[in-house]
Amino acid sequence: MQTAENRTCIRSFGQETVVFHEGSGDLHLLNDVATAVLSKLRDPSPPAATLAADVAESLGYESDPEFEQQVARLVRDFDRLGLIQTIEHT
Amino acid sequence: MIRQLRDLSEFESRALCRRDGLVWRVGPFLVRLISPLPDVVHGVRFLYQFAELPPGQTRDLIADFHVSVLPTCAGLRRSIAIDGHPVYPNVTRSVTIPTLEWTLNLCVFQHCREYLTIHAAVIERDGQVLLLPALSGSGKSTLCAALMHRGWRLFSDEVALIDLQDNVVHPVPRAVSLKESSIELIRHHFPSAVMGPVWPGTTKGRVAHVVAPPDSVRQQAIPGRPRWIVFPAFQRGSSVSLTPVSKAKAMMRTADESFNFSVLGKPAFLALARLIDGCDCFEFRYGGDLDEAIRTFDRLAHAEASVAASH
Repeated sequence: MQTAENRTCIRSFGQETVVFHEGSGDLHLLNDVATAVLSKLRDPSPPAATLAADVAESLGYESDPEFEQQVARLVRDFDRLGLIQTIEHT
Repeated sequence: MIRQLRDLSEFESRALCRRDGLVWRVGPFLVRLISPLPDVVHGVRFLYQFAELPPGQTRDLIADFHVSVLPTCAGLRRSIAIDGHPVYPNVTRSVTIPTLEWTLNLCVFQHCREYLTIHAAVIERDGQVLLLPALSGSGKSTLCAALMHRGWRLFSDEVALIDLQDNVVHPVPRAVSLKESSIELIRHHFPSAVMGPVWPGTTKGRVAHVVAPPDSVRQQAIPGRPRWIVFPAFQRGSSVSLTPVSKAKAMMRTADESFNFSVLGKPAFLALARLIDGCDCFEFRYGGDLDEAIRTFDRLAHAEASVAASH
């Protein structure tokens, strides 16, 4: 998955981020974890299995099963809100 | 030589208002008012006494907003319209002036697309602009009325006009609308304030208007750099407090107070982001101690001036 670059505008303020979705006109406020997840998803095709570990490392957190679930929920939420899109591999 | 509305006689004003319309400038906008009603002309001449009259023949002027106040129901009621479309079709004489003021608010809130508009009081000092985004009842107009009598320039008590290209705020100085106990509070603190009659029985209770200071009107073409965003909250009995708010949260809250953010879309987002980038953001609570409230904002301005002087 990757961020829906052509439909979102992003402005970060330290560890918080505001995301604007042009299609819906909605604004979303992201905390430090959500900001880190979205940032990682902007890199080309990060492997899902290592996403939680990468995010935890960037924030100086411990990655445990609960954290991995939190990251997985964030990815599902981003997809539902249209902030990210699935990459078609051909 | 800039002519002001007060330079017209009552007779001239009534004649214009009946025929081609009375036209005056409010910030970047020209307003044209048509009305055959003497009390409307009288009220407007008081509230906008320092307003600039644009040069040229009235009939040739291109106004941004066309407002009419016409009698209905055999003269027992009034209908107030924008561009011929009634917005308040059944107004009594006793609330016509405050309702006209709300109509002029609507003109900017609903019909302005050249700027990002935010429901906020806006004041300025030494070129730095303070925005107070908030809903009615937060005390922003009371704070605005107080600060404009203590060395701050009034931009507006209702709307911030944010330039979509440059990071500046444009003034729209009009009368400051006060409600209920704020009327007596301002009258007590600032006996020299030019305040109109109290209008009872409006949907917001008792309302009175403080005329925009002539210096604020005279400088209405001079924009300012946004420097502080302060979210006011009035809580009776509360002591004054100024608490930092994160920029991200401030951006969300300010967008919530925008009239046209969703209409403008991406340009609004970019303009708002620029605005937030340049501002320190706070939450402000106070319980009616106007002097301490004024000192708090003066300290903000003084700190800014000190930083500027040291560079």
